[in-house]
Amino acid sequence: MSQSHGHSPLAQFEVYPLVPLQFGPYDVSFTNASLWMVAVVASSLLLLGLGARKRALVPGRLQNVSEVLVQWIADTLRDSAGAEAMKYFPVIFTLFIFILMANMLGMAPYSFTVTSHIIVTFALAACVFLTTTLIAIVRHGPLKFLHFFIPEGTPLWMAPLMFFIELFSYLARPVSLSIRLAANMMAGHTMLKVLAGFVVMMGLGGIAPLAFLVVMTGFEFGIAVLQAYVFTILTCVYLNDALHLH
Amino acid sequence: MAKRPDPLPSLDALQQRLNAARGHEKAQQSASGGMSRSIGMGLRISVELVAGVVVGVVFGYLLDRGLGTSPWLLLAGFALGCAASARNLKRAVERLDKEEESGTTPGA
Repeated sequence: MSQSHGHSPLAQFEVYPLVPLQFGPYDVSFTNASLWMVAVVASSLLLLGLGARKRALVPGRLQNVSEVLVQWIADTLRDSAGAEAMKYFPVIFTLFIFILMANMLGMAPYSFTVTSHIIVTFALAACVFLTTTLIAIVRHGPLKFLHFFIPEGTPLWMAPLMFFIELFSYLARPVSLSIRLAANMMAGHTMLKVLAGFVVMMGLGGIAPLAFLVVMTGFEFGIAVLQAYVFTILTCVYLNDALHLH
Repeated sequence: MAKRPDPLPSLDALQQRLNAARGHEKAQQSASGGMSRSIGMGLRISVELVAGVVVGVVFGYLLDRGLGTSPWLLLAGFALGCAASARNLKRAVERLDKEEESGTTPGA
Protein backbone atom coordinates (compact mmCIF):
# COMPACT_ATOMS: atom_id res chain seq x y z
CA MET A 1 0.00 0.00 0.00
CA SER A 2 2.77 2.44 0.83
CA GLN A 3 4.25 2.60 -2.60
CA SER A 4 5.00 6.27 -2.19
CA HIS A 5 7.56 6.31 0.63
CA GLY A 6 10.49 6.80 -1.67
CA HIS A 7 13.50 8.96 -1.07
CA SER A 8 11.98 12.32 -1.89
CA PRO A 9 10.74 14.38 1.05
CA LEU A 10 7.70 15.24 -1.05
CA ALA A 11 6.67 11.63 -1.56
CA GLN A 12 4.56 11.83 1.60
CA PHE A 13 2.01 14.08 -0.12
CA GLU A 14 1.21 11.71 -2.94
CA VAL A 15 -2.45 10.81 -3.37
CA TYR A 16 -3.19 7.45 -4.93
CA PRO A 17 -6.47 5.57 -5.30
CA LEU A 18 -7.20 2.65 -3.03
CA VAL A 19 -10.60 1.70 -4.49
CA PRO A 20 -10.98 3.06 -8.03
CA LEU A 21 -14.53 4.33 -8.65
CA GLN A 22 -16.05 6.22 -11.56
CA PHE A 23 -19.18 8.37 -11.62
CA GLY A 24 -19.72 9.08 -15.29
CA PRO A 25 -16.69 11.06 -16.44
CA TYR A 26 -15.60 11.87 -12.88
CA ASP A 27 -13.06 9.98 -10.89
CA VAL A 28 -14.46 9.51 -7.42
CA SER A 29 -12.03 6.85 -6.23
CA PHE A 30 -11.55 6.21 -2.59
CA THR A 31 -7.97 7.43 -2.13
CA ASN A 32 -5.54 7.33 0.74
CA ALA A 33 -6.62 10.90 1.49
CA SER A 34 -10.22 9.69 1.85
CA LEU A 35 -9.06 6.91 4.16
CA TRP A 36 -7.28 9.36 6.42
CA MET A 37 -10.29 11.68 6.45
CA VAL A 38 -12.44 8.75 7.58
CA ALA A 39 -9.83 8.15 10.30
CA VAL A 40 -10.02 11.82 11.33
CA VAL A 41 -13.80 11.68 11.66
CA ALA A 42 -13.67 8.36 13.53
CA SER A 43 -11.07 9.59 15.97
CA SER A 44 -12.89 12.85 16.70
CA LEU A 45 -16.13 10.93 17.28
CA LEU A 46 -14.25 8.59 19.62
CA LEU A 47 -12.54 11.40 21.51
CA LEU A 48 -15.66 13.50 22.01
CA GLY A 49 -18.14 10.62 22.28
CA LEU A 50 -16.22 8.69 24.90
CA GLY A 51 -15.38 11.94 26.63
CA ALA A 52 -19.02 12.93 26.94
CA ARG A 53 -20.22 9.54 28.07
CA LYS A 54 -19.76 9.62 31.82
CA ARG A 55 -20.90 13.21 32.53
CA ALA A 56 -19.10 13.14 35.85
CA LEU A 57 -19.11 16.36 37.82
CA VAL A 58 -15.39 16.00 38.39
CA PRO A 59 -14.19 15.02 34.92
CA GLY A 60 -11.83 12.18 34.22
CA ARG A 61 -9.00 12.73 31.75
CA LEU A 62 -10.88 12.12 28.49
CA GLN A 63 -13.86 14.14 29.62
CA ASN A 64 -11.51 16.91 30.70
CA VAL A 65 -9.96 17.08 27.24
CA SER A 66 -13.37 17.24 25.57
CA GLU A 67 -14.54 19.91 28.00
CA VAL A 68 -11.44 22.03 27.47
CA LEU A 69 -11.87 21.92 23.69
CA VAL A 70 -15.57 22.75 23.78
CA GLN A 71 -15.11 25.54 26.32
CA TRP A 72 -12.17 27.07 24.47
CA ILE A 73 -14.05 27.33 21.18
CA ALA A 74 -17.30 28.40 22.85
CA ASP A 75 -15.46 31.24 24.61
CA THR A 76 -13.71 32.24 21.40
CA LEU A 77 -16.98 32.32 19.47
CA ARG A 78 -18.79 34.24 22.18
CA ASP A 79 -15.97 36.79 22.51
CA SER A 80 -15.61 37.33 18.77
CA ALA A 81 -19.17 37.23 17.53
CA GLY A 82 -21.44 37.80 20.51
CA ALA A 83 -23.99 35.63 22.26
CA GLU A 84 -26.36 35.42 19.29
CA ALA A 85 -23.68 33.68 17.24
CA MET A 86 -23.76 30.74 19.62
CA LYS A 87 -26.39 29.09 17.44
CA TYR A 88 -23.62 28.55 14.89
CA PHE A 89 -21.43 26.87 17.48
CA PRO A 90 -21.93 23.28 16.19
CA VAL A 91 -20.62 24.21 12.73
CA ILE A 92 -17.67 26.16 14.09
CA PHE A 93 -16.75 23.43 16.52
CA THR A 94 -17.02 20.71 13.85
CA LEU A 95 -14.68 22.75 11.67
CA PHE A 96 -12.23 23.17 14.51
CA ILE A 97 -12.19 19.55 15.59
CA PHE A 98 -11.81 18.30 12.01
CA ILE A 99 -8.80 20.51 11.34
CA LEU A 100 -7.30 19.78 14.76
CA MET A 101 -7.59 15.99 14.42
CA ALA A 102 -6.42 16.09 10.79
CA ASN A 103 -3.32 18.04 11.79
CA MET A 104 -2.67 15.82 14.80
CA LEU A 105 -3.14 12.54 12.92
CA GLY A 106 -0.72 13.87 10.31
CA MET A 107 1.96 13.95 12.98
CA ALA A 108 1.89 10.16 13.31
CA PRO A 109 4.76 8.39 11.51
CA TYR A 110 3.95 7.19 7.99
CA SER A 111 0.65 9.05 8.06
CA PHE A 112 -0.87 11.33 5.45
CA THR A 113 -1.67 14.91 6.43
CA VAL A 114 -5.04 15.66 4.93
CA THR A 115 -4.82 19.40 5.48
CA SER A 116 -1.53 19.76 3.62
CA HIS A 117 -3.36 19.67 0.31
CA ILE A 118 -4.67 23.00 -0.81
CA ILE A 119 -7.78 21.46 -2.35
CA VAL A 120 -8.85 20.20 1.08
CA THR A 121 -8.18 23.49 2.85
CA PHE A 122 -9.77 25.38 -0.02
CA ALA A 123 -12.91 23.26 0.34
CA LEU A 124 -13.05 24.14 4.05
CA ALA A 125 -12.35 27.82 3.40
CA ALA A 126 -14.94 27.91 0.62
CA CYS A 127 -17.52 26.45 3.00
CA VAL A 128 -16.73 29.20 5.52
CA PHE A 129 -16.78 31.92 2.86
CA LEU A 130 -20.05 30.81 1.26
CA THR A 131 -21.72 30.34 4.63
CA THR A 132 -20.77 33.76 5.98
CA THR A 133 -21.65 35.50 2.71
CA LEU A 134 -25.05 33.78 2.58
CA ILE A 135 -25.72 34.64 6.22
CA ALA A 136 -24.87 38.28 5.52
CA ILE A 137 -27.05 38.49 2.43
CA VAL A 138 -30.02 36.73 4.01
CA ARG A 139 -29.80 38.77 7.18
CA HIS A 140 -29.21 42.26 5.81
CA GLY A 141 -30.48 42.07 2.27
CA PRO A 142 -28.35 42.19 -0.87
CA LEU A 143 -28.36 46.00 -1.14
CA LYS A 144 -26.93 46.56 2.32
CA PHE A 145 -24.45 43.78 1.64
CA LEU A 146 -23.14 45.64 -1.40
CA HIS A 147 -23.02 48.82 0.65
CA PHE A 148 -20.53 47.10 2.93
CA PHE A 149 -17.99 47.36 0.15
CA ILE A 150 -18.11 51.15 0.02
CA PRO A 151 -16.87 52.41 3.39
CA GLU A 152 -18.44 55.47 4.93
CA GLY A 153 -17.21 58.80 3.78
CA THR A 154 -15.69 57.93 0.44
CA PRO A 155 -16.20 60.70 -2.12
CA LEU A 156 -18.35 59.72 -5.07
CA TRP A 157 -15.55 59.73 -7.62
CA MET A 158 -13.56 57.25 -5.56
CA ALA A 159 -16.47 54.91 -4.93
CA PRO A 160 -15.96 52.52 -7.89
CA LEU A 161 -12.26 52.12 -7.12
CA MET A 162 -12.96 51.55 -3.42
CA PHE A 163 -15.64 49.04 -4.33
CA PHE A 164 -13.17 46.92 -6.27
CA ILE A 165 -10.49 47.19 -3.62
CA GLU A 166 -12.92 46.18 -0.89
CA LEU A 167 -14.29 43.39 -3.08
CA PHE A 168 -10.80 41.99 -3.64
CA SER A 169 -9.95 42.18 0.02
CA TYR A 170 -13.20 40.35 0.81
CA LEU A 171 -12.40 37.67 -1.76
CA ALA A 172 -8.90 37.35 -0.37
CA ARG A 173 -10.38 35.83 2.81
CA PRO A 174 -10.95 32.26 1.59
CA VAL A 175 -7.65 32.40 -0.28
CA SER A 176 -5.72 33.41 2.81
CA LEU A 177 -7.55 30.91 5.02
CA SER A 178 -6.76 28.02 2.70
CA ILE A 179 -3.16 29.02 1.86
CA ARG A 180 -2.28 29.60 5.51
CA LEU A 181 -3.32 26.13 6.65
CA ALA A 182 -2.01 24.22 3.64
CA ALA A 183 1.33 26.05 3.51
CA ASN A 184 1.95 25.60 7.22
CA MET A 185 1.24 21.88 7.11
CA MET A 186 3.10 21.20 3.88
CA ALA A 187 6.16 23.24 4.80
CA GLY A 188 6.34 21.77 8.29
CA HIS A 189 6.09 18.18 7.16
CA THR A 190 8.49 18.65 4.26
CA MET A 191 11.03 20.13 6.64
CA LEU A 192 10.65 17.20 9.02
CA LYS A 193 11.27 14.71 6.21
CA VAL A 194 14.27 16.65 4.90
CA LEU A 195 15.82 16.71 8.37
CA ALA A 196 15.15 12.99 8.73
CA GLY A 197 16.98 12.43 5.46
CA PHE A 198 19.97 14.31 6.85
CA VAL A 199 20.01 12.11 9.93
CA VAL A 200 20.39 8.97 7.84
CA MET A 201 22.88 10.53 5.43
CA MET A 202 25.27 11.85 8.04
CA GLY A 203 25.85 8.53 9.76
CA LEU A 204 27.42 9.08 13.14
CA GLY A 205 27.24 12.85 12.83
CA GLY A 206 23.49 12.47 12.46
CA ILE A 207 23.11 13.17 16.15
CA ALA A 208 22.90 16.92 15.50
CA PRO A 209 20.04 16.87 12.98
CA LEU A 210 18.35 14.26 15.17
CA ALA A 211 18.33 16.63 18.12
CA PHE A 212 17.03 19.40 15.91
CA LEU A 213 14.41 17.00 14.54
CA VAL A 214 13.14 16.29 18.06
CA VAL A 215 12.73 20.01 18.72
CA MET A 216 11.05 20.64 15.37
CA THR A 217 8.60 17.77 15.88
CA GLY A 218 7.51 19.32 19.15
CA PHE A 219 7.20 22.66 17.39
CA GLU A 220 5.08 21.03 14.68
CA PHE A 221 2.64 19.74 17.29
CA GLY A 222 2.26 23.29 18.52
CA ILE A 223 1.75 24.56 14.98
CA ALA A 224 -0.89 21.87 14.39
CA VAL A 225 -2.99 23.10 17.29
CA LEU A 226 -2.26 26.76 16.54
CA GLN A 227 -3.31 26.57 12.90
CA ALA A 228 -6.57 24.85 13.81
CA TYR A 229 -7.23 27.61 16.33
CA VAL A 230 -6.31 30.40 13.89
CA PHE A 231 -8.66 28.99 11.24
CA THR A 232 -11.44 28.85 13.80
CA ILE A 233 -10.91 32.29 15.24
CA LEU A 234 -10.82 33.85 11.77
CA THR A 235 -14.06 32.04 10.95
CA CYS A 236 -15.58 33.56 14.09
CA VAL A 237 -14.35 37.02 13.05
CA TYR A 238 -15.84 36.64 9.58
CA LEU A 239 -19.08 35.41 11.12
CA ASN A 240 -19.11 38.51 13.32
CA ASP A 241 -18.64 40.67 10.23
CA ALA A 242 -21.52 38.91 8.52
CA LEU A 243 -23.85 39.20 11.50
CA HIS A 244 -23.09 42.71 12.71
CA LEU A 245 -21.01 45.14 10.77
CA HIS A 246 -23.22 45.17 7.72
CA MET B 1 -28.77 66.74 56.79
CA ALA B 2 -29.68 63.38 55.31
CA LYS B 3 -27.01 60.82 55.52
CA ARG B 4 -26.00 59.85 52.01
CA PRO B 5 -24.39 56.44 52.02
CA ASP B 6 -20.96 56.42 50.48
CA PRO B 7 -21.12 54.49 47.18
CA LEU B 8 -19.13 51.56 48.56
CA PRO B 9 -15.49 52.71 48.36
CA SER B 10 -14.50 49.16 49.18
CA LEU B 11 -15.73 48.09 45.74
CA ASP B 12 -13.32 50.56 44.17
CA ALA B 13 -10.44 49.20 46.15
CA LEU B 14 -11.49 45.67 45.19
CA GLN B 15 -11.60 46.66 41.51
CA GLN B 16 -8.13 48.12 41.74
CA ARG B 17 -6.76 44.97 43.30
CA LEU B 18 -8.52 42.87 40.62
CA ASN B 19 -6.98 44.97 37.86
CA ALA B 20 -3.56 44.60 39.35
CA ALA B 21 -3.99 40.84 39.65
CA ARG B 22 -5.35 40.52 36.11
CA GLY B 23 -2.53 42.63 34.74
CA HIS B 24 -0.03 40.43 36.52
CA GLU B 25 -1.65 37.30 35.09
CA LYS B 26 -1.66 38.72 31.59
CA ALA B 27 2.03 39.55 31.85
CA GLN B 28 2.70 35.97 32.97
CA GLN B 29 0.68 34.57 30.08
CA SER B 30 2.44 36.63 27.45
CA ALA B 31 5.86 35.82 28.87
CA SER B 32 5.25 32.09 28.73
CA GLY B 33 3.98 31.83 25.13
CA GLY B 34 6.38 34.40 23.68
CA MET B 35 8.06 32.78 20.71
CA SER B 36 5.26 30.65 19.33
CA ARG B 37 2.86 33.56 19.67
CA SER B 38 5.00 35.92 17.61
CA ILE B 39 5.62 33.24 15.00
CA GLY B 40 1.88 32.65 14.83
CA MET B 41 1.30 36.38 14.37
CA GLY B 42 3.97 36.57 11.69
CA LEU B 43 2.56 33.67 9.72
CA ARG B 44 -0.94 35.06 9.94
CA ILE B 45 0.08 38.46 8.64
CA SER B 46 2.38 37.24 5.87
CA VAL B 47 -0.35 35.11 4.32
CA GLU B 48 -2.66 38.13 4.14
CA LEU B 49 0.01 39.90 2.10
CA VAL B 50 0.13 37.14 -0.49
CA ALA B 51 -3.58 36.36 -0.63
CA GLY B 52 -4.70 39.84 -1.66
CA VAL B 53 -2.21 40.03 -4.52
CA VAL B 54 -3.15 36.52 -5.70
CA VAL B 55 -6.85 37.40 -5.80
CA GLY B 56 -6.16 40.60 -7.75
CA VAL B 57 -3.92 38.91 -10.28
CA VAL B 58 -6.31 35.99 -10.84
CA PHE B 59 -9.23 38.37 -11.33
CA GLY B 60 -7.26 40.55 -13.70
CA TYR B 61 -6.06 37.58 -15.70
CA LEU B 62 -9.52 36.02 -16.02
CA LEU B 63 -11.11 39.32 -17.05
CA ASP B 64 -8.29 39.79 -19.55
CA ARG B 65 -8.99 36.45 -21.13
CA GLY B 66 -12.69 37.22 -21.22
CA LEU B 67 -12.40 40.71 -22.69
CA GLY B 68 -9.18 40.28 -24.63
CA THR B 69 -7.53 43.43 -23.28
CA SER B 70 -4.26 41.81 -22.28
CA PRO B 71 -2.14 42.80 -20.47
CA TRP B 72 -3.75 45.95 -19.07
CA LEU B 73 -6.40 44.31 -16.93
CA LEU B 74 -3.80 41.99 -15.47
CA LEU B 75 -1.72 44.99 -14.39
CA ALA B 76 -4.76 46.80 -13.04
CA GLY B 77 -5.77 43.66 -11.16
CA PHE B 78 -2.29 43.39 -9.71
CA ALA B 79 -2.39 47.00 -8.52
CA LEU B 80 -5.85 46.61 -7.00
CA GLY B 81 -4.76 43.33 -5.43
CA CYS B 82 -1.83 45.08 -3.78
CA ALA B 83 -4.18 47.75 -2.45
CA ALA B 84 -6.60 45.10 -1.18
CA SER B 85 -3.80 43.20 0.51
CA ALA B 86 -2.56 46.41 2.16
CA ARG B 87 -6.08 46.96 3.51
CA ASN B 88 -6.25 43.40 4.81
CA LEU B 89 -2.84 43.79 6.44
CA LYS B 90 -3.97 46.93 8.22
CA ARG B 91 -7.12 45.24 9.45
CA ALA B 92 -5.23 42.12 10.53
CA VAL B 93 -2.76 44.17 12.55
CA GLU B 94 -5.59 46.11 14.19
CA ARG B 95 -7.35 42.85 14.99
CA LEU B 96 -4.21 41.38 16.52
CA ASP B 97 -3.69 44.47 18.64
CA LYS B 98 -7.28 44.30 19.83
CA GLU B 99 -6.92 40.62 20.68
CA GLU B 100 -3.73 41.24 22.56
CA GLU B 101 -5.11 43.95 24.74
CA SER B 102 -8.38 42.15 25.40
CA GLY B 103 -6.41 39.12 26.54
CA THR B 104 -7.78 36.35 24.31
CA THR B 105 -5.67 33.25 24.00
CA PRO B 106 -2.31 34.35 22.61
CA GLY B 107 -0.58 32.56 19.79
CA ALA B 108 -2.59 33.66 16.83
